[in-house]
Amino acid sequence: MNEIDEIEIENVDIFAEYLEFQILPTIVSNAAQAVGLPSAKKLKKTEWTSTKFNLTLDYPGEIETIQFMRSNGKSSTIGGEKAPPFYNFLGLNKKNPNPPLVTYDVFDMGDKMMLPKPIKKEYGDVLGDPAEWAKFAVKKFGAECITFHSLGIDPGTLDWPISNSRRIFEDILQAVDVPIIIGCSGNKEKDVELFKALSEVSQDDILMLSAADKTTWEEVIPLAIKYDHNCLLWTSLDLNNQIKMNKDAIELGLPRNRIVMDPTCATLGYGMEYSFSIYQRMRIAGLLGEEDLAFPISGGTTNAWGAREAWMSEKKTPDDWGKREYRGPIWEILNALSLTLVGLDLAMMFHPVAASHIKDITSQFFTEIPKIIDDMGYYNWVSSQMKY
Amino acid sequence: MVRPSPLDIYTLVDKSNCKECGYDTCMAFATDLLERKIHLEDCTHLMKDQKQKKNYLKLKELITPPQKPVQIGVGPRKVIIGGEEVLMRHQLTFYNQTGIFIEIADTQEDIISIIKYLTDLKIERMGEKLTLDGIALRCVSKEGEKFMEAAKTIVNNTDLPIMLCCLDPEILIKAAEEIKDKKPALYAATKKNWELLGQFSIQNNLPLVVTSNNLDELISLSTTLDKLGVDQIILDPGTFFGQGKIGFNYDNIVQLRTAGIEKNIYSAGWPIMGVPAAYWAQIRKIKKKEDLWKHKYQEVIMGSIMISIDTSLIILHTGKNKDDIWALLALMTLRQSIFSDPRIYPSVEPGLYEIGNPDQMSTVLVTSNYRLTKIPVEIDVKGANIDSWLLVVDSEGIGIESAVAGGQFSASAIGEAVKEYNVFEKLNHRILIIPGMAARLSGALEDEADCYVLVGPRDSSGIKKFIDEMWTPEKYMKEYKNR
Ligand code: SF4
Repeated sequence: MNEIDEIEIENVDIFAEYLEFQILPTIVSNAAQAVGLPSAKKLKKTEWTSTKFNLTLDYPGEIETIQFMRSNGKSSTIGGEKAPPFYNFLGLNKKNPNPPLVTYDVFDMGDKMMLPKPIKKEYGDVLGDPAEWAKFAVKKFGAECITFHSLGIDPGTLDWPISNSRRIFEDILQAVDVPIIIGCSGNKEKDVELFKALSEVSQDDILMLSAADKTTWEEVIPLAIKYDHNCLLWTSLDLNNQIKMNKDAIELGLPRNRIVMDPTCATLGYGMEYSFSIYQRMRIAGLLGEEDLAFPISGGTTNAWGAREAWMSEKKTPDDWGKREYRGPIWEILNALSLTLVGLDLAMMFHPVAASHIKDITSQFFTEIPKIIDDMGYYNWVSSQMKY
Repeated sequence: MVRPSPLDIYTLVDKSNCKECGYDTCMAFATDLLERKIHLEDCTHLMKDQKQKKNYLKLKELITPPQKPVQIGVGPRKVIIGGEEVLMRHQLTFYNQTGIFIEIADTQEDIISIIKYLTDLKIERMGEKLTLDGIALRCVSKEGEKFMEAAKTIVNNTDLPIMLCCLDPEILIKAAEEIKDKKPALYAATKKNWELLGQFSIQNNLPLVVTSNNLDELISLSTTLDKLGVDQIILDPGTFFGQGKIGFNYDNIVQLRTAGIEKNIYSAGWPIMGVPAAYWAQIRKIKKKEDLWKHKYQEVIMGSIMISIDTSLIILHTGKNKDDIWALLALMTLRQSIFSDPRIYPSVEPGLYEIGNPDQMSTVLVTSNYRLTKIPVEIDVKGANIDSWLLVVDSEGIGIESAVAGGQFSASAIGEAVKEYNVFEKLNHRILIIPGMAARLSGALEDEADCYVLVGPRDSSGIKKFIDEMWTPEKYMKEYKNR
């Protein structure tokens, strides 16, 4: 439409810069005349040009919908997206149905671990009692999901028997009625045993085994199939490995609506961008119709606390980084929030302030978004005192 | 946009290989031109030879990204915003990181010390220095004289770029006239004043922000000013707070970027700005002072969303005071992350590295070949003035915690590295220090590499203290021999 005008104006630019650079006005004006333009910087008159902003985008794919369900309690749903997060402008029929789910971490050996002080402060005594801890997270912070990590079974830590995890797990099932994710220790042999025991006792529920990886998948995925749980497929920052594991899982018989992907959640400041781009590629590919990647994404955003910027006390920081009290939670918030913008559906979180902020902010994308805001109050920012 | 290839560019340059641009060949010039390491105008032939003018114009069009870049400020700290070729970083890379400007009111007391603080502010991370990009001077006094004086005070005390913000175009122009050689950005042209500000922008070659909370009007403004001849536009769709409004801001920025960069809609192809600082003009009274941080969080969160979606420039309020450095640390770290070049691999070359001048009795610190593990370890050890060997093990470019869990950083992987790099041949001891996060590998590693394993701190910031207190190699070697 205005194509010709646009080219004309571009040319004016170019000559203007040319002029500054070379200070050869005659060349410029000659050239300008040659293409029939007014000479540079001579002011023109223009009418107001009313233009409509128009943008259409097409995403034919759809991400699988995954459910978590407690037989006598609550359910949660993730996935089901038909558009990138949180493209409300594509209209209501494309609006993503489910906000990201936040799951609160609970550890079996919470009182024996090195935990960042701000976290200890929030949970206090319950750190020694996982069932109480889970209850506290649900009651006090409104947790909609709990991840129970059995770290103590690893021979490298406490070498607790699986029966211990099973007992704790049963206590947690009793204590709260929200879905629970079954987390493991990192020791392959014990983890398979753990998944076997815990998925069996919860076979009436639909929970999630976290996780099958490249060494355990052949044993863990059949357990998820047998006891009908979701299964998290964990790979290490490699898109092709993730595709392969997804395919393998489907081949073994894991239903599509039981698959959640975890291509590894890296820490803000220590490679989060790798996760960011892998999530984004996976999500966009899934929405464009790549079925092998059309699954919800989970991430351990708790990893944010691995950054010294998050946990280190202000007395020890190499430079002035400000109060840890503020630094810690904001680190976890930014780590998680940034990733929800590229596809994170399930955020495994730690600090309650961070978790509640993520819930609050992401839910704001799911309320009605005004088409137009008439409120001109925005422009007060220019002249306001901003006294705080 | 279809990215041109170096060959597309090469076809249009002189091909004389005259070396006047500093490159040995025109092809090398073409490659770096595409990477924006040099300017088209650096090819002397293209500039001097009249016959090549047509090619110059063609090239200029070829290399101008769909989102046009805009420069604010002059001198070493000038900032270029926008200019992106891709919507998502993995499609190539983002070239110009979000410019972070801090607002200052023209009525601000002690303005010089704040300017100095903002100018000197510097956070070192991963070997890079993170700094602020500019100051947004706000006209709170509503007095032309006062605003102009404040603008002069700023340029006299800093070389940071400035955005002059005033809704009264006369006051704005008066101040801009005074400092125009510093190339300030003008905030802002609206439906009411576009002609006046547009012409001022053209005459003085200054970037102009256009603003409207309605995308149709914003695009109309951009189209109109473009017709008028303004060639440095910044789009401000407004930043709103309150229920549902985060989504409104997000939608607007995403739509503008997509239209400009992916759909090549010319009028949307300009840098986009946001004002998280507007939070403080939109909230009512803050009742409890203890709750102030929650409000700051709201602003920082809005800033982080904007950085995550490659918004070209943001204006902050929180961060102006020293106490708020945590906010800038978080936002600048996020920015460093999103704007890092995705073409750089997460892995570094495995091997035995020297830090300082290690000798036969120096420590051997073992780490992974994940770039963002190796770099901080190296910085910490160097910073502590420790001479040490650093054994970088091939963990497939994965960080320690994940790689221990995933099996890439294992006793056998470390054992292989010890052999491959002949570690113990360079030493008079057989002691390895492994990261705290890999503690569980120590037993297996002692067998695998026939050595004594010390479990170091979980974070490399603790290495200095650890070595000062724990490094007694003779003692460990005795234990090793007695086993
Ligand atoms: S100045 Fe131009 S012609 Fe000469 S080598 Fe460089 S690119 Fe080629």
